[in-house]
Amino acid sequence: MAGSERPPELPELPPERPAEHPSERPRLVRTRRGRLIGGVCSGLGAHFGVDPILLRIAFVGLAIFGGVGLWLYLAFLLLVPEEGASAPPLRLLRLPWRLIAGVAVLIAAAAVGLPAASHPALGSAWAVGVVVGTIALVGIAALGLRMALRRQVSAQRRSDPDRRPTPDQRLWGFLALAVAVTAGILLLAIAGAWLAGTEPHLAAWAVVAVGAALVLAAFARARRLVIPALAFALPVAAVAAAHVDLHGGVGERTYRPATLAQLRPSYSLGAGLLEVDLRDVQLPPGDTTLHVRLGAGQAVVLVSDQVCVATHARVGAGYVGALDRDSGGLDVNWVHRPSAPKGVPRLLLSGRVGMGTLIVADRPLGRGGGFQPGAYGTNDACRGAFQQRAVR
Amino acid sequence: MAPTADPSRGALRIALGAGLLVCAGLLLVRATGPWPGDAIVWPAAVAALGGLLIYRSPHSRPRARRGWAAHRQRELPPRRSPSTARARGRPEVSRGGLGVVLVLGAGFAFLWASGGVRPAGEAALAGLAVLVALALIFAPSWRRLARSLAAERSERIRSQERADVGAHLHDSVLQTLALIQRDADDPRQVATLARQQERELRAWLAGRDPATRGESVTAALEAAAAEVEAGAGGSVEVVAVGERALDQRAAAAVAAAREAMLNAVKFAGGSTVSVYAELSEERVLLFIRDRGNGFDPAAVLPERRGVRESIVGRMRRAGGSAVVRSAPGKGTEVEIAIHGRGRS
Amino acid sequence: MTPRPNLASLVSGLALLALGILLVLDAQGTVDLGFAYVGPALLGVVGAALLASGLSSRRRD
Repeated sequence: MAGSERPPELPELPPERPAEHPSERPRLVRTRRGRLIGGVCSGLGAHFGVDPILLRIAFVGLAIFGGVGLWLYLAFLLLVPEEGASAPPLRLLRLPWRLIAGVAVLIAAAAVGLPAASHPALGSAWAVGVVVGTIALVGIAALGLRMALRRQVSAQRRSDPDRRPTPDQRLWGFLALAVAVTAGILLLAIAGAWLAGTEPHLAAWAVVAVGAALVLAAFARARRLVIPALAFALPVAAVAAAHVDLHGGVGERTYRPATLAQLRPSYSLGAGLLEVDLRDVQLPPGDTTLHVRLGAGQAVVLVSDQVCVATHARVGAGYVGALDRDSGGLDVNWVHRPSAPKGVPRLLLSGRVGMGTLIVADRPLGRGGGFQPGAYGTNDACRGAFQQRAVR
Repeated sequence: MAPTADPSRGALRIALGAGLLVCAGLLLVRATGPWPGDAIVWPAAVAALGGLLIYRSPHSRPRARRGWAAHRQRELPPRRSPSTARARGRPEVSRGGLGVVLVLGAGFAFLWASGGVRPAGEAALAGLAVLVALALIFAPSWRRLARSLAAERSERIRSQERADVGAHLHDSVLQTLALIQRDADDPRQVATLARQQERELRAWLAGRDPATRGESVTAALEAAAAEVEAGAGGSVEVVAVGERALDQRAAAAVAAAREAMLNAVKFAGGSTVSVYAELSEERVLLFIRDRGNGFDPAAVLPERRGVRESIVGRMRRAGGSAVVRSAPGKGTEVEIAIHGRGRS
Repeated sequence: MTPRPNLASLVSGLALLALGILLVLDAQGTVDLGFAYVGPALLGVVGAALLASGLSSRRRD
């Protein structure tokens, strides 16, 4: 011990350098070192000699303007192999044809089924069913992918105990888990919102039951049930607070009565777009009452310039725009009741929208549907602007 | 909610949860009771949050710790902590800075909402003029005060540095000289002791404390035990539970333990000295026990620096503690403890 | 000796119980909930859940 020298210092190892011809460009791979998400920008940067940060800015810019950036990044993620892997994640030449056929069928079914689901002939449950089914399928597929990845990782670990999962495996595993969890939460939220809109009593007792179950589960030391419980219960509360009534069907409904006889006293829809076009109807002088009910979505009432419109709007959460006035926010209870001069017809509109917008306009909203008070009618009939015309 | 051993993650959730509960309470009051108005309450809430962050930021509170050693060891850290945080890979958002931003933002939002930006600007200018005048008037006395504070602190550092040098000299050189006197008949042992001590003193003078050789506390303890065995004879047995990286405070504990081991070997007759260590990130506990003759702690004269100053005093200066328990015939146990994390 | 219950689940469960009872009263028509009350209730439930989860993970240290 005494007099022993300290061990000599180890020489510093030279930095790693790929054993390649200096004039040859490195193969295009998604690098491990320097990767932020999938190594796409760092890999491209290494291959072309560009700073990865510039590429990241370019991708983000492309993604914001048009979304092309996202698809491009996804394509690189699937088609470029990871550093150290022999093939890209998506081996286009060796995909089983059944998988491709199955995915194509699913996409076709979604493309046809989703718009068709909002057809008035079908009940409202059908549309919800289609949406729920799609989300469930996506979630199950993500879970399957994650399980397959875990099997792959544990098989690797059995053959080589020191081998940790590659960054790609971790990335896809994380993405699959995120998609699956999101799908699950969405399903629960839709279920809760749907139940609250159609059977409020049942939904309320369901929340009580979920709360009680959670308390019991707490004593059984269950941990991960809080998020699913909240994912179900919070939309129930929100839908109940907004008084959303989903009973009337789901989809797009347009009503255009041609005569006064065809005018119904009330029009209602569960969720979607409800349009009531009264421009062809000759309203009698005096007051005419109309009820418009919508659970969630947009309700548009079109009136002619010769009608004075008085509005009583109740919107749980959203916006009401009536010709030249508007209001919005939460728990909206808004009344605008101008009096009409003698001889001018007045429409007493009582609108109830759970979550969404109620619009009263003199013509349909353009594409992009931005309503500006005053831009779609001015309610001048209430001020006698058309009285001369009526007298003549 | 996956389990995590990192308390800072739970702290984020606690802060968010508390914030949401406060917002919920405010909204409830807004719906039911008297409400000063949105333009007042929300900026005030943001300002309160900013004030809380400033109050709890690590720079504004004076660190009250036991002993001057903690002050000396903290001369460097404020400059070092941003770099260690960056080395850990997580961007360290200064809490105090965020708090200041929140308070200023809240004030500005309130002014903007109540339309008072221009008059407030004029009032601020007037206040600034007053502050500048006051600063000019009181600047000389402030400067004198700051200078005297700095002088006092450097004097404190100097005196404590002197105490440390004295303690180290006592541990090493005086011990060796005592051992040499005891073994004066054995020239080989004398030469060994002298050579070892010379090497150690040179290393220490060059700034490298031999007790910090190696990375872990266990390795340092075993090295210290081996040195004691080689230098003073006897047998020292080390048993360690847990692990901890060797930082400044743990190194001080190991040095104190080494001193205790030397004492035990010297005065414990022939029995084995056992060192038992409990190590963790939060705590270092070292027990040095021997089955020797023991002594009566109350009868030790204050001039005998041996136990009192170099072990107990050294530990107190390092922000830890040392307790010596002994009774005649029952052996001796020295307990050395450090609580808390390393470089704090 | 009953094992210590999981704090996050317990607090969330109790909060959801209270929220559920409120919703039952609303469905029956006894009270009329609007976002003025449900808003704070929702924030309170989420805040309590977060707080309990953070406290329980800190206590496990």
